Amino acid sequence: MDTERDSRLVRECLQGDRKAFEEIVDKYTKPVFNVAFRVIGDADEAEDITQSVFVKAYENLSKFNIQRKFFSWLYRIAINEALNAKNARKPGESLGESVQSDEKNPYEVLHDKQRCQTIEVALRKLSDDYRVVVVLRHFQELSYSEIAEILQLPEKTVKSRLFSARQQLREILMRSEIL
Amino acid sequence: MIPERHVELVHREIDGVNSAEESAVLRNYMLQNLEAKNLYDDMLAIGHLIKEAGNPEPSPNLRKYILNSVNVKKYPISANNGIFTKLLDLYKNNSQASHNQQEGVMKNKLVIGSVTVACIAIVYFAFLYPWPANQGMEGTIGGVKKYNAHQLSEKDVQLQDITSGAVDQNMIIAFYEAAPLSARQAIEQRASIEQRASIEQRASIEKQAPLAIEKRASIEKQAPLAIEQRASIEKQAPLAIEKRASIEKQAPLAIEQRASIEKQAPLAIEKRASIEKQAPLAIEQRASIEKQAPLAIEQRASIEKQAPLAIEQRASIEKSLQLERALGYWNRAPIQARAEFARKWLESRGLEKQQGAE
Repeated sequence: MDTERDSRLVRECLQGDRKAFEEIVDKYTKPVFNVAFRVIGDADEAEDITQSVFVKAYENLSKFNIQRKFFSWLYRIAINEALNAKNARKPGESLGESVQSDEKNPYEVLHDKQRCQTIEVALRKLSDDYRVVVVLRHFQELSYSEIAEILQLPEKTVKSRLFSARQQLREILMRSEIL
Repeated sequence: MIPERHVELVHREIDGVNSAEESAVLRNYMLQNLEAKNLYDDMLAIGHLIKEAGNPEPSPNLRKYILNSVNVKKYPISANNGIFTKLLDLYKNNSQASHNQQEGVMKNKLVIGSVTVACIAIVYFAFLYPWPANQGMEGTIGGVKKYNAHQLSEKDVQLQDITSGAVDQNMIIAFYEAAPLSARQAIEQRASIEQRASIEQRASIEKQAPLAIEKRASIEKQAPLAIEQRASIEKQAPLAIEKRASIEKQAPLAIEQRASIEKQAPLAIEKRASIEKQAPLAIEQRASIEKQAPLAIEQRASIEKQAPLAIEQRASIEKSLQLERALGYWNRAPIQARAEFARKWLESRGLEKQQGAE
């Protein structure tokens, strides 16, 4: 992430430069959408969350501390929005889980070339804390320190959560005979 | 069982954060421990699976949706969010949120405004507007006329002097002179009675006057300084007691002189009566005026001496008295008699003019 460029864009945006904000949107729409999608598991809902994230970011841009990393701040908003949306759902409403059933034979899944969906199913079985660190580490390829900054956690906690999450994924996938 | 240290090395190796030495240690350990080797392979496979899953692409319209929902032009950001900006934001938010409520509020305002105007109108017409009196005016339009007719001004009232040319004075006097002797005598008698009555009244008043003078003299004895003298004395500063005493001694003399001057006042009673008719001040009024602007007695005497009326003035007064009597007679005479006399008068005047012309 180009931190200096982000800071410049934020400053220009605060001065009322519409193009600067458009540039921010162009740069971060996909990452924010992906975070939301991996947390919530539904593309349409993820788009709504992405839109909401940018509106909130725009409205609160004046409160952003320019000394910090903008993407950390934006990701944090995205994760909070996605988790709030997920928690606001009624129990059993999860679209992903309804599509992908545990009863489905992983072998069939493999043969149906749906390995991607299988890993997503496994991810959804993780707790929110574990899933978020996996998403940020493997899908967004952020470092331990960056994840720690986004989640406002100690780096050690991030590592611990990440290792535990992977261990759980391994067990899930082994039970599913993926591994 | 894999030691904690080596589990961490496996994860760190997957994340690519191990140093060369740590990587070498892990490789050696994995050669010795198959469990560790399986863990590493599984973690690597999970990583590959996640990468295979990849990141889905959002809708191409998402960017447009985001920018439309933000709408920078409508809602510009300022780094210095002052009170005004905050208030503006609050107003905008409230106005957007309560757009539907505003319609209801507008309706309420309209109703409240109408009721207020109606109340003000009722109060105004009930208590303030000058309606005409309606008691005892039933069936008439007088009450309305009273308030609708314009008020009389000085221009509307023109007093007509009987001495002016508007009335033929000579005709009225001639009419009076042509009146029967008994009628004229009655009028004269009446006038003389009125005159006598006024003279007697005056005499009685003047009888009381010496009393007033004596009273005044006693008052002036108590404070016997002439007003001008007193003023000048007071202005100049307190006089010595001896001087004041000598002035007070001279004061009674002045009063006696005054009494003699008034006795000698050479105005005929008739003259005085006519003067007093022209300027009929009540004695009390005169007294009050004299108190307010008290002329010195000597000055007053000299004015009264200078006041004799000129003979012409007196003649005109007598003429006006005669005219007044004639006018009274004219007004009391029957209209036929007046018309007949006026016709004859005009005829005689016409003949005179013709003779004069010839």
